[in-house]
Amino acid sequence: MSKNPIKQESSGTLSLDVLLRMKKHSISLAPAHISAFCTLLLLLLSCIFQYSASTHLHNHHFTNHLLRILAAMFVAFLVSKVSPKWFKNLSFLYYLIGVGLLILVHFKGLTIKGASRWLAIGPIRVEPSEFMKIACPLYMAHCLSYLKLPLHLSHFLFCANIILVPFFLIAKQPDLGTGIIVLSIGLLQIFISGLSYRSIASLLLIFIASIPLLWNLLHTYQQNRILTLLDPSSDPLGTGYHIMQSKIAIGSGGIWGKGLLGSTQVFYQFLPEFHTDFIFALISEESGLFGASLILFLLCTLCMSILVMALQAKSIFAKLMLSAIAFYFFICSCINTAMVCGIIPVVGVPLPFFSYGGSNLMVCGVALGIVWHLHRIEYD
Amino acid sequence: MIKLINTQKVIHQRIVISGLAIIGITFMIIWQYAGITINQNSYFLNLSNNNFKKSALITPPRGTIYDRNMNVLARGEYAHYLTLTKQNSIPFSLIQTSLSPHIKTDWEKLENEYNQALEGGEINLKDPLTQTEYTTLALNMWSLPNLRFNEALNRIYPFGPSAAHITGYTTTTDNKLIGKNGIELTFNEHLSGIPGWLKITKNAKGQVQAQSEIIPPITGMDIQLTIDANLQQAIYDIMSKYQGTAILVDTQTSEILAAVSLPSYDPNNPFESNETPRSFFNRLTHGLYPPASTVKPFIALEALEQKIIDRKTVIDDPGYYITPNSSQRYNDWLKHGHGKVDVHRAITFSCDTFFYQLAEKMGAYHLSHAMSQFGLGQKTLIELPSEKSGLVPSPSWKNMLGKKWYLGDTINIGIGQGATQVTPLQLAQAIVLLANHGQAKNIHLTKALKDQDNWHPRLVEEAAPISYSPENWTIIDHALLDVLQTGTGHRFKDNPHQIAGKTGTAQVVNIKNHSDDNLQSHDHSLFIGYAPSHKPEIAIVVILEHHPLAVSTANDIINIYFNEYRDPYVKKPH
Repeated sequence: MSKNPIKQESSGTLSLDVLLRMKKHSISLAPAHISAFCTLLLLLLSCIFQYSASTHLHNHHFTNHLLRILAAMFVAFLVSKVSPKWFKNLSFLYYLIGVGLLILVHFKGLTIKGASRWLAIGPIRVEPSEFMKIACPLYMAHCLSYLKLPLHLSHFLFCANIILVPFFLIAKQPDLGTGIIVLSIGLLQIFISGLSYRSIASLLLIFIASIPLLWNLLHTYQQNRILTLLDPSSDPLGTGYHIMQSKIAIGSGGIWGKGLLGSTQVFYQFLPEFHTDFIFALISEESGLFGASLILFLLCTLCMSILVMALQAKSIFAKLMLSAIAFYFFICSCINTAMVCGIIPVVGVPLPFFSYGGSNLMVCGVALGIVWHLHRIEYD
Repeated sequence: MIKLINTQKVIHQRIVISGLAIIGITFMIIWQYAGITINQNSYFLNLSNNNFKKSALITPPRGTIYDRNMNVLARGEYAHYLTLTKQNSIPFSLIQTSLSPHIKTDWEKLENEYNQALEGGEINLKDPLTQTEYTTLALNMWSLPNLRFNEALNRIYPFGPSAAHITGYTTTTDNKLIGKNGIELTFNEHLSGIPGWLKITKNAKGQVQAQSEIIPPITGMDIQLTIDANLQQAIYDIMSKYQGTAILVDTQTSEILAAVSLPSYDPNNPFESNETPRSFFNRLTHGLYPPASTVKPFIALEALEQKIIDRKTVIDDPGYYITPNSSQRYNDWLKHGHGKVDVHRAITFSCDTFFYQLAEKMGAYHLSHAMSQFGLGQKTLIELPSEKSGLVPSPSWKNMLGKKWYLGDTINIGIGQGATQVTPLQLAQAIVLLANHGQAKNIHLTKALKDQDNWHPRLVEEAAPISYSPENWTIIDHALLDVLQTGTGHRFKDNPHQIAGKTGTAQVVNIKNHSDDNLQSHDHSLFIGYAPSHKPEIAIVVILEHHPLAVSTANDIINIYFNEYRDPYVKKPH
């Protein structure tokens, strides 16, 4: 390693220069603090809005959410304290287990609402696709850190297989949302490992050319959702109804919102899935543009702080894994919020920290645990 | 080493690019939210409120129509209807098997409607449920989740067809009753009251969460009619064999005690029984009849008053009259004539020849004046819709049609034929004026209106008074009494109630559209009269279409009135 890498990288962008100077002035802990602060604030807001949603649901709803948050925080703490080899050396094992479970889901999965996504292990229902959100980037980062970087196109084919296998398994459940998340995190890791722009452009061309083929692979309901987005009036009471009611919730909230517990769209049961996938519509209605942009800002800040950690990390593995996690938080929030306000079709992607559900919070906990783990071992 | 540094540089560059992309996309999303929440706020706020805030009209109960003794002629009553909600998960066969033991309906039609309905759509079973159906279904409701009872206000007419032409009927539009005929139409606004507004909060499933009255409705007014519903029913029963009308009026107050028009219809369900369109024809206001000989007393009065004749004027009746100039021959109804005839005998025996000559002497002006004075050919302003005015012909009327007035026209009016057309109610008004010697009120149907808690009696206008000398009135009174003692109605001289009246026979050559040829061969018979003759209490008009027994029917009606209905009415004036 060079004695003074900063000097040699001064030809990089201005922001890069600034960020690295921050390290030099021994405020290296700052991104970790910021990430922790953002996380706590997001969890607090999550509790507030889940409380609002709980007034329209059964009694245990809010308690369940609190318990799950505590469990996720405990898991995050555990993960951040384990030995580094648990990640790097065992990542291939996790990946294999993940793929194995996904195949198992196809044969023995629980079918709920027409999708077989769950495995019943005793009283607990497990979603292997959620596990894959962490396992796949881990193995990917592990592989990439052993390859010659910047990534060459020939190595790309090997890496692409690592993400395409789980993607197709998940997309076939069908759960296109999670599939796209796993796929896009992998692609981002490939992008960061330095695949040349020329290769990226040619791959994009191939992708665009194969869109008609992929269209036929989609389920009819997925095709309908995309068509509805292009022309919402074609399906006023089907998929379009959800988007419309969600937009009504957001739009009627205005700048400051209708106040906590003031959502009429939820109270009169017009808003579907208001505590899970569509909780951001409830947040927008009750706290308005102010609340919505505050949450988006916090999520963005969290992603940025993790990316800064990635810049500061020493090993390639840590850089790739931290970027992947930052991107995970971003892509989930982005897909969810864009879906809720009708920019993209309805896909089942939860909002990190906010949507009700154990898997969502647990994945967030594990991801943050890894962030703080990597941060600890890279600087201690 | 350089390569490694180069690698790290590439990675750092890519991470920064990703970071910038993340910031950029986050701002784009915030921008999108700002667009929806700021620019389209009022639009979505409106949609959001419309989602759950609905307003509805509260229809107040329709006023009740009472008869003079406070018997109900028309009232509102809640009826139960069954509503099916379409649910794709519930097949129609299941509905049919669970409902068919309890109710009867057109299952095939219902099945079609059910299968074509959208999920969540509602289908009404048209007929109101009977009380038994409602009770048994209410006990078995649990078996189907998509069944619901609806309540709707129905109009009940306890006296059915007998008073249908007076009360009229109602139809239901938008859960609101609307008067379609008779008193229901004339007083529709009074009876229906003023609707109020209701604010309703509904959730996405359409369940009502809360409701509050914003504007309370104003209940419809009750109406008391002058009709005696039981008398009306009795007269309807007497007349049920015939087509025609009968009107009974209190001569003191000009209140119509009964007014029957046949054939009639059932106002409880006017369109579902086998009524022909002719059943809806209200003969009281729309039936135009030639008054025939019943106009003779009115013409005679005018002639006496104008001194064209006096009580001693006698003519010789050979059974016809030939006009001096045109030598046109006009036959009397009695082939060989009545012999020597004065005005008394002319009325008693309804001598046409006397009135042919009298008409020629009087001229068209005096003739039409005689009839118009008593309200013939003019609307009676009765409280029934679109009354016809009838016609008393005059030279100016015929000129207006571009035709010439002939002496024959004058002579024809003299016996109430020709183009003369009057409604039964006009005859009733005329006979009431005659019975009261020219001083009477307008005939009317309504006694009082109830506004909130107070009854407001109706103020009745006086009819335009007719001032003839008392002797002339007396001449006619005696003549009319003798009609039923010795004259054309002598068969009923034993009637204890001293009926005075005038018979008439109207030729119906003009009426051609009758399906029944037998009926067509008969003329209409008319009777107008009052009783008792020395101190009139009631006036009566009877017209039987294509049937000769008007006098006999009037006799029955007067008997039944004095024997059964007079006393309770005298004891219980409102």
